[in-house]
Amino acid sequence: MTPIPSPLEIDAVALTEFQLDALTETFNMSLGEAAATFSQIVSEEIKLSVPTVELLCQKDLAERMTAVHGKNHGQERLCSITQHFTTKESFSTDTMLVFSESGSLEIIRRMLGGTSNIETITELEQDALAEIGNIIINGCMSTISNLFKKPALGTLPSVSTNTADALFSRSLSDHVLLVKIGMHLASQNIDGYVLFLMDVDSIRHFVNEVEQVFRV
Amino acid sequence: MIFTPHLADSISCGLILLDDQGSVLLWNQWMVRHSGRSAEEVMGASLDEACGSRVEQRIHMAVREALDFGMPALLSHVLHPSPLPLFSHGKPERIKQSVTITPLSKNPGNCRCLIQINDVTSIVAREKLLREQTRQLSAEIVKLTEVQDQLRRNESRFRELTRQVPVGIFETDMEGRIVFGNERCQSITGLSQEEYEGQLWYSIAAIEDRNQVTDSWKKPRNPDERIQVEFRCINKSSMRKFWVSTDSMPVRNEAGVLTGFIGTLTDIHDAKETALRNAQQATFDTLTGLYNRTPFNERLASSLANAGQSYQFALMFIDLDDFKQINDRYGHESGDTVLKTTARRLRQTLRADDTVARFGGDEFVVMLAEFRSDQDLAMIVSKIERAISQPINIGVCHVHLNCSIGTAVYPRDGCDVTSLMRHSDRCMYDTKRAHRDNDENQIPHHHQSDRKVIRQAVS
Repeated sequence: MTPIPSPLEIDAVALTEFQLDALTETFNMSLGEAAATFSQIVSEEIKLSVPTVELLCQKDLAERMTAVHGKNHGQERLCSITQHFTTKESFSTDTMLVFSESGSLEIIRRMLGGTSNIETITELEQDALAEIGNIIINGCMSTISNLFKKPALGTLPSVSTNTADALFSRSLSDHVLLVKIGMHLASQNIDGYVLFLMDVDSIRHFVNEVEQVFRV
Repeated sequence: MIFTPHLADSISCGLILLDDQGSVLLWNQWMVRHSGRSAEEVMGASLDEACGSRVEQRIHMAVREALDFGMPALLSHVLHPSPLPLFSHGKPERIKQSVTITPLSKNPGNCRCLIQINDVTSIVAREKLLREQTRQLSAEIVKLTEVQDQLRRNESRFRELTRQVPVGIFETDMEGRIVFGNERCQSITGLSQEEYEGQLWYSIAAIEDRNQVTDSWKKPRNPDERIQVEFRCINKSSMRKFWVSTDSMPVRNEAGVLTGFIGTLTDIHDAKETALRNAQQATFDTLTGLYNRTPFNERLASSLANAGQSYQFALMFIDLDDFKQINDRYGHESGDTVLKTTARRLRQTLRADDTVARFGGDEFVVMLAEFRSDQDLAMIVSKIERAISQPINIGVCHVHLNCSIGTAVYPRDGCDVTSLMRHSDRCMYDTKRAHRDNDENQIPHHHQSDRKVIRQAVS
């Protein structure tokens, strides 16, 4: 069970406008790198929307993600690619790339050039999706670790497809730094989201690092 | 050392451990088998040296990222089918691979990294098969959908046709049980769909025609023969009896096996009634019910055609004497009564085999089917004369008429219709003249008309 955070704890990680701006800029840069790498792989232009940064309770996350995807896809399942990163004496995070299931299939099948009608993702396709997620997440995380001048050690990506409720029910952390950034493939209307799931300590460390980078 | 050589060798995937300089620290048995290089050969060498120079660039980049930044990498088969020169059982083409590169250190920047290589050849084959099967299935579904669409269109066309068509359409099984009937069938038979389904189609025939219809259905016939039959049917809700016609054709399935019949059911009542009336009128004299001239002549001709030399039959011309006076004196109704009575007496006097016709006016013709001798014939003639000369009640009085009869015998007096007719006609006039001469000799002329009319008060 995830303990319900007290208002004090939420206050403890409340963000100032400067912090929010700095975070936005950080993610803008890191995802820009990631998208460039991804763009090379799929040989297609990828447009990014300006990232929005939110601090959420874990329990609100599933609801939020359902709402985001529910708009167009009803109760469609989501596909996530997750890697865990640890920086020495600073923060650790689960970094997730999330697509709708159909969106993830479309990306993969574009790359494979197949016209398969198989409705669920196959083993090889899942592997390819893991690699794409890996490239994007690595791109994103190496930019951040460069900015912070703190190496981050990562794990291999794991792919999981499920409803938003099931995907985010795990008690990874009390709080989530939700960074939403739309990645639009020019030929297809596919949105992807990058999520950083951190505990309160990590969020505090992360925000500190960001502040140090951007403080004049 | 993280892996003992024994542990690494017993793992069923390729393991390569590189130090922070990218030199080989571990090269497990799986790698030996698939690369053809022994662990001793490659120990301390760079990846390129260990594998030859045919390592995909992306592997080098991923190794560098893992060693320098602690970033793990996954190289999927889809994007990198065979990044390392690894082979299976001496086959010339590289095995299909999925590669992961993991940094192994809590101290990024001074890292080792582990390369794991999985042989995904069988997975690729399996998925290729799956893809192929899916493609085939999709193609079949498309085809099926087209067929279904066509079927649906045909069915709705058929339903609309059967609904709008002005005749009943029904389908039966081989035993004649109705399995389908359109709306018109319901309105003709007065039965609801539930009521007529499963019924024998010929059970809709009225009782007087039931046997005829059943026979026409059950009689042995060529399987492809159509069954056409007209019969009277009783509408079960209005109880109206009326004429219908059915026309049924056998139906075969795709294998050519007879499965039942499809037939039409048409209300032909008005046309049938008119036809029956016309036929009746063409054959029979409406007043007396005797044959008309044409059907009589046909029967005579057919008797002549069938008659042999040994067979003789007679033709008889009968004319009522002074019939005109009845009409003039008592009116046409009385004349009609006289004609009807005469016709009835003729039929009563003659045998069933004999044919009696009225040729118009007061002329009657009889074909005597068979007689033994002239004497026989004379006796029949006199029987007729006696029967006709009985008084006839015309309502206001009784009248009394004689008749003149002329005969012709086949083959003695002629062998064809014309000559026999002419002969008997001539004989009849001879008789009539004889009657008249006789009258004039016996009775004063002014009493002539009174002689034939016996006045009697109507009681």
